[in-house]
Parts: sequence; C-alpha cells; structure tokens
Amino acid sequence: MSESVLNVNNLEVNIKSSKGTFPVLENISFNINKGEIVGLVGESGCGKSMTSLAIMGLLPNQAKWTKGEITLSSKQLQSLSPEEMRKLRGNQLAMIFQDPMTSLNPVLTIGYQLIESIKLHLQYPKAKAKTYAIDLLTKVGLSRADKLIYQYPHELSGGMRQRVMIAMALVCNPTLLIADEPTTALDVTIQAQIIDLLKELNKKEGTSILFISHDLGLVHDLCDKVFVMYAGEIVEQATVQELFDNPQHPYTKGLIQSLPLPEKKKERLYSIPGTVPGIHDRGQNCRFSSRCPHVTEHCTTHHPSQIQISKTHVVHCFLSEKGGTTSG
Amino acid sequence: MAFLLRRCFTFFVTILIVMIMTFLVFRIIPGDPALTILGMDAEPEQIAALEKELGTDRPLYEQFLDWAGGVFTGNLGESLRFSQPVSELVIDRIPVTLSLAIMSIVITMFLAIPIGIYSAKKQGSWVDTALSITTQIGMAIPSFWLGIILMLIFGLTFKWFSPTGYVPWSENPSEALNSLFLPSLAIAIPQIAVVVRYLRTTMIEQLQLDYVRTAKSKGLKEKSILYIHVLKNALIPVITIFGMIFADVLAGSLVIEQVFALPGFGRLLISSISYRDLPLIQGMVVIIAFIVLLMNFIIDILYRWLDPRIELK
Repeated sequence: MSESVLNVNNLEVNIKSSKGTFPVLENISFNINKGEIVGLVGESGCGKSMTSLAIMGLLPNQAKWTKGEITLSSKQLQSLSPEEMRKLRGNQLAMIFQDPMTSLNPVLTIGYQLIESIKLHLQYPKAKAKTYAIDLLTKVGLSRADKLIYQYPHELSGGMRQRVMIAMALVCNPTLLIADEPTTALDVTIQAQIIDLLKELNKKEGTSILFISHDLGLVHDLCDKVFVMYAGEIVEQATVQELFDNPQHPYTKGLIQSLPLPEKKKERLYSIPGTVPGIHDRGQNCRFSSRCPHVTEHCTTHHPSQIQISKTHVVHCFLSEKGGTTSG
Repeated sequence: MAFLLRRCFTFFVTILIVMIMTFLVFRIIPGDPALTILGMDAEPEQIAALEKELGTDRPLYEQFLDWAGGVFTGNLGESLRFSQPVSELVIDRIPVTLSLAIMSIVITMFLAIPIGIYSAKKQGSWVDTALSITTQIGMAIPSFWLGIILMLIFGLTFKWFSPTGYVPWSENPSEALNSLFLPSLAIAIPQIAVVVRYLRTTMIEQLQLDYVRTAKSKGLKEKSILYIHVLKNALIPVITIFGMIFADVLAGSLVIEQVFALPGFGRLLISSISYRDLPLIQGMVVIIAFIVLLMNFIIDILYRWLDPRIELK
C-alpha cells in the first residue's frame, strides 16, 4: 500500500445565511495517496471549491467546519492553530486557481510575488531567493525568466500567468497541490500545455494533485482516481478506468453522456435536465432524485447509503443496490 | 516624455487662467486702490495723480500684460501698502504656511492609513461602527472650531503645547514643531476622517479580490497581505484624493493662522484684501495656485508609479 498524503474523513461544513444554518458539505470522505492525481468533478455549486478551501483552512467567514477530520501526511489539520495552518499553506499545501488573470497581484512584479514566498518559507537571503525564483520560472517552462521577474502580471498572457502561479505553488515542493479548475479560463492549446506541465510535475517530483474540474475529458486524460460530487456529497468514487467503463450513478452517466465526442457529431449533445438543488432545498432524500431519469418512490424519501462495487469503486445509489437495473 | 510635455502644458495654461481670473476679480468688485489709500475725501486731481502713478488708469489688457510679463520673469511687482517687493514679503511667510500644510498632510497620512486599514479589517465590528461615527463627526466639524478647542485643552489647560505664536525653524526646530503641532492637527482631523472613510471602502473592495486569496494560499502573514498586497492597490484611488486634500489643507491653514496668530500667508492675504493691495493679492494667489498645481503634478507621477498598468510615457 502506498502512503496516504491526504485523508478526509466524514467532513461536514455548514454555512450560515439569513435563513439559518445549512450544510454545504456532508459526509465527505476520500483519500489521496502519494504521487496520485485525483479528480474532483461536478457541476458548479456542488461544493468542489468549498472542499478545497476547507483543506486549505481558508473557508469564508460564514462557513464553519463542524464535523470530520482532515489529515495531511499524518498531521491532523483540525487540531492546528491558525498560525500553524498558515505555515502549512504555500509549504506542504499549495493551491492554484481558476482565473490566472486575477489571481496575481496587479501592482507587484512577478519576482516580488515569487520571492516573498521563498523568503517567508525557506528564509533564503535575497540573492539566493532571486536565483531560486528564476530556476522555478524556468522549471515551469517560462523562457527569459531573468527578465520576467521584473515584469508585472498585465504584461504576461493567461498561460504564462498560470505557469507563474504554478511556480509559486512549487516553492517548497508541496506534498499536495490543489488545482481548482486551473485551465477553465485558458484557451484549448494553452490548456493542454498546462495539463502536460502538471503531469510532468507529478511524475518528476511525485507531487500529489487534487484536480478540481467540471470537465470529465480533462479528468480522463490526467487523473488516476475520480470523485464525483453532487450537492455537497460525494456520490461516486472510482478509478478513471472503472468510472468511464462502468459508471454507476445516474449523475456520472449524465456527465459522461454530455461530453462532446467526435463520434457523436451528428447527435444533439446531451444535457442533464434541471439544476443542482440549492443548500436550502436539500432534504432526507437522494439529492439527485429531482433530476434522475430512473427515480423511484424510494429515492424521494430515503437517503442512499454507500454501495461497494469493487475494491476501488463506491457509489451512493439505490439502483446499484438492486443490481441489474443500472446496466446500459 | 509625451506625458510630461502634456502635463507641463496644462500646468502653464492653468496658471494663466488663475492669473486672468484673480486679475479680473479685483477689477470687477467695488473698491479702488487709489481711493482706499487716499480716503473718501480725496480730491479728484489727487486720485488721478495716484492712479497714474500706480498705473491703474491704463487699459486693463495693458495692465495685465505688464503684470503677467513680470510674473513669468520672476518679478511679482511691489506692494502698495508696504512699498516693498511682493516676493520679499511673501518669502518671510511661506515657511509658516507651507510647514503647516506639510505637517497636516504628514499627520493625515500617518493616522489615516493605519486607522483605515484597521477599520476595513474589523469590518462590521463595534470598533468599525465606532470609527465610522467618529469620522462622520470629524468631517462635519470645521477646523477653526477644532483649533479653538485643541488650543483650550492642550494649550491652556494641560499646557502641553504653546497655544499661540510662532518660532521660526531656524531659531529652534523643536519649539517650531511645538508651535505648529496644534494648528496642523486642527487642519488634519477633518482630512483624516475623509481619508479613513475612503481607504476603508477601497480596502474592503480589494479584500474580496482573487489575488488576496492567492496571497493567503501562499501562507503570507496577515500583516504583509494588508500592508503590502492590499494597501498598494487600495492607495491608487486614495492617492487621487490627496491632490484635493492638499488644496483643502492649504485653504485650511489660511484660516487656522488667524486662530493661532501665526504670521503666515493667511493673515497677510486677508489684510491685503481689505486694503486692496492688488499686486500683493495677485502675487500671493499665483504662488498658492503654483504650489497646489505642483503638488498635483507630483501626485500624478506618484499615481503612475503605484499603478504599473499606466505607463509613464
């Protein structure tokens, strides 16, 4: 067995609104091993970003971690003080974000933003920090790095900025890199380059990556394991192979069906009817029941429990329980 | 370079407009210098003779060109009341007024920036609410009244600062500082209130932005996030209001000088107006306009330095 880098167990996060307190994340449990790339997929509003912010210890003020444990290479995150948590960020735990256009500070140079991290976490003197910054920028595939450190974010393209973000995340060789839709705001060719860069990092440095995306195609190319989230819960988890060969949950099937593929060119692209229920309308039923094509009476009154399909494949759906009904 | 040239051109045009306006205003409002000097009972011949001597009998454009030509070659003319060159009279008083203005700006910056940041950080708390009420009051109080109250409390009751009078910097710097502190504070308080409110709003706006989340995810300390990352962005809109504040501060010092009996620009200007000492008034207004414009020029450059997205061309 390979060693676990991140273990989330039974995580629950509540959010306070004017109408009361509601759970945004419930029963979130998953594990990421060393050197694994794990995908977290789902539509907007499923709680993907909330999960990553909970791991980073950066939940917004209205949100509160109420239950469960998060373990990062044998460190219990819930027992750390805010100061200890801060020291962990940018060190063992790093994150890159969706929109590289706005994720960098517009009035500070690339060099400043990179070097401040190096000085903070590694206590390098100025000259050494600068050399290291140039090395990092070169490592993420940016040329003329010695000039680049004096430039401002607006002078760089989106792809270059995302590379800078990755370089910043790599300062301390993190054990876990969380990538929150890192390619959504980029055009397709640049997207492929960034994905290749992440793959290369994973291979060379053994960095585990939690890849958050709504794009199953990208997840298929990049990840080893996938967690499918729906309305604040994980509804299915499997290896990439299992998930695409034998999807169990109707939601996963819907997501796979709505992928635009060349052989489906003539057909009308499938879309799952309806939208994710808001946090106020989540009751004791299967949360997908309002949109599920195979919904039964039972689904609208009971919450499905976990069903083991194989050693690595788990689903939360009544249909899989009965067996047979889900094939096809 | 194009920016600097354009900026210099507007600088020159603005000065020219200020000159035309001050020149005309004192010709339009009632009150004739010759009449003021000689009194109401003067003979018409005497008045005519004095007007000829002062040059006020000549056509307006001729008088203006004469004066403007002098200004641009560094000659501001001679005061009617003191029969002394305007530049000499002004040079004695510039240090007092300019010291007041600069000290007020420094006090404003040193107090308003930390308070504004603190208020934004504590957004929604009772401290924030208390600060918001205080700044509202601060903006509403006129500085001359504040000056009187400060003088009463710290000058006369506690005797921490000298209540009135002025000691030149060249004589005793610490005494000079002491005599200027209360009036500077009186001018600064309403400005602090304005800057605190403005900075608080821009800081709160900036704190919502993505780059702050990035900074947090890098594990930066709250202090460096607030004072470096967010402040540098938040200062860009705030710096533009510093130009207006400087003009306000200069106007405020003209008034406050009366309260604290400081021998600055304000007292000379006000007495010159009632005396219709036209060359002196005009000279002083041009100098004040020049200082304000120069300050705005510096702020424009500072603005470009703070925001690299605007290129200094």
